[in-house]
Amino acid sequence: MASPLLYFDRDARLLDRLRKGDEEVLAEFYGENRAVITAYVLRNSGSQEDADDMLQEAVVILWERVRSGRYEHTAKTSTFLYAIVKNLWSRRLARKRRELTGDTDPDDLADPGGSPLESLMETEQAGEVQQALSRIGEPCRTLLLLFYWEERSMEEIATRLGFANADTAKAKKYQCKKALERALKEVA
Amino acid sequence: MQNEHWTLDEELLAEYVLGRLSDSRREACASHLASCAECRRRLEDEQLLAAGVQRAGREELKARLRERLGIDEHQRQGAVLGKVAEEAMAAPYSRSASRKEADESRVPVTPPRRGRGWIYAAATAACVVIVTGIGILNRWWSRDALETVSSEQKIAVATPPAAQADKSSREPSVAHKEEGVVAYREEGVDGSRKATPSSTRDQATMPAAETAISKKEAERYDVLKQEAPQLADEVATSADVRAKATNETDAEMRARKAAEADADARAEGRSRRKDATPPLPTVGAALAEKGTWLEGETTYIRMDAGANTARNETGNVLRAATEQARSAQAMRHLNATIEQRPLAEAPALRQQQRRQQAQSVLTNIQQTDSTLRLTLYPDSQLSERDLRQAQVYQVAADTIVVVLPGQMIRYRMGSQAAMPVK
Repeated sequence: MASPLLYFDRDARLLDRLRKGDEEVLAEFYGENRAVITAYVLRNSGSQEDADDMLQEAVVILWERVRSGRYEHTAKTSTFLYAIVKNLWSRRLARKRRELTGDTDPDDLADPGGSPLESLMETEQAGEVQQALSRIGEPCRTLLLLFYWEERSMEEIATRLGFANADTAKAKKYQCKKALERALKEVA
Repeated sequence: MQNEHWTLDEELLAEYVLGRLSDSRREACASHLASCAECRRRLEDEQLLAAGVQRAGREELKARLRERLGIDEHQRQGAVLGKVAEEAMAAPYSRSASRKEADESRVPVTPPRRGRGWIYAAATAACVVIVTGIGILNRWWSRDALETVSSEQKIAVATPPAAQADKSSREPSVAHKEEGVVAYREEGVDGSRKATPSSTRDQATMPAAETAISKKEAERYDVLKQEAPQLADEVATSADVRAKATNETDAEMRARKAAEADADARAEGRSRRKDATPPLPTVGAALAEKGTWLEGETTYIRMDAGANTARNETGNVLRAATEQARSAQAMRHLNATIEQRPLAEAPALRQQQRRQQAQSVLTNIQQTDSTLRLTLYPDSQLSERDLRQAQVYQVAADTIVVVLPGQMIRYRMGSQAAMPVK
């Protein structure tokens, strides 16, 4: 779909750039929202470092939503980011309280919100996959990232990585997945 | 569909995991899973793979974002892991280890106060300044030589790793400076202090800085007396002021100070034995210049069992490696660089020795002026990300610990430091 020639909404313009893969937009969102997010986190028992972490998480979530087509531009992006940070931060505070009181919570693992501590405590298996991914080399690494994370179609992957067609990309993806599984066994 | 092993179809499996199937198709697939253990296993594997790749993508995007924003990645990750280790040490034992102790160590949780945080912070800071001022002045007036006992360690532990790097660079001769006042401290490898009590020194050989202290003290006292009569009264009870009041001669003053210093040392010794953590010696003094080969004992931490379990296990392992203390005060963050090489590149004899040790990491440790340099020769290479996050702590006189995500490597230097380097 061709981009409109003129945007009346600045957010829409930025989001369109984001859809096209312009990551510079993320830094713009970050800079524009940092003061508000910092004020919120500092007011709620957090530090500047916490605020930065939260905002980074929120910006990445925005990116994921936009790239996968799941983002609905019904409100300002600043409102979206603020809501995400509020949600993530309240979860992290709740988890901190549980940790301090020694209570365990089965939701700990299901909670995607990541504090500095929590982000390190994510599942070991996922960490091993990440480690294995760094070993399989290119173009497999990029191909799997495009498929599983960016959720690109085989046609898009073929174009991006210069394969003849989607079937070639599909065959290559199968090889890459097997390579990742082998690397995973070595890591584990 | 229900009776087919649909998970054998790679594309279908991926589409199911990525949530691209229509509701009806998804339900059909799900109904088969209930009766097929093999399919459930394949599905779990695919989910794990997707989650790992997605996590890698997310981390990479965040790293690129931080790079654009000019945030120092290495410093950030180091600070995070340091925070984990110190939180783990400060946390109570795991309940299975000692439930009672955990209950006693619980920190009451209070809801965040809105808007008044700065008032409490300012009041606390003011109290600290006043109390510190009284302490420093008392000490100046009562003894002409200033010593820092174990404050350097406490500072080193209390500050984040990034801030400690600068402090560590001043090791092994630690100097504590404060507004022109210099304190000297020397430590031996075994932790014994060799600082010369200045009370036994002749006043004529005193460093110029210490002579200057007297003038400064007098000026400070006058200012303090004008501005805060209560504080000045407290300071006025100190020994030197009493001496001035009674026109004590220099010889009498020196004799009195020597006696007071001895009494202080005895009292300090008793106090330390009772409740303080002895100072840790300088790490690496015993290490050979060309490096010492050590076998690091690896302990894995379950990172997949929830944040509490991982933190408790981290804390328990660190405590087990720590000789005396059960708090982060016993740890000292060390300025260190860590790199890794394939095990095949290690000397043949070392590789042979390594094979006799299960779960250990062959490591060469060198010490430069301000930094420990660790070269790890692990069986399988660690990820660069893990290495960047590694933090090194001294936890006992002869023990250092490398804390990595998911594992800790402990090195006891005492027994092995004398090993010759091949």
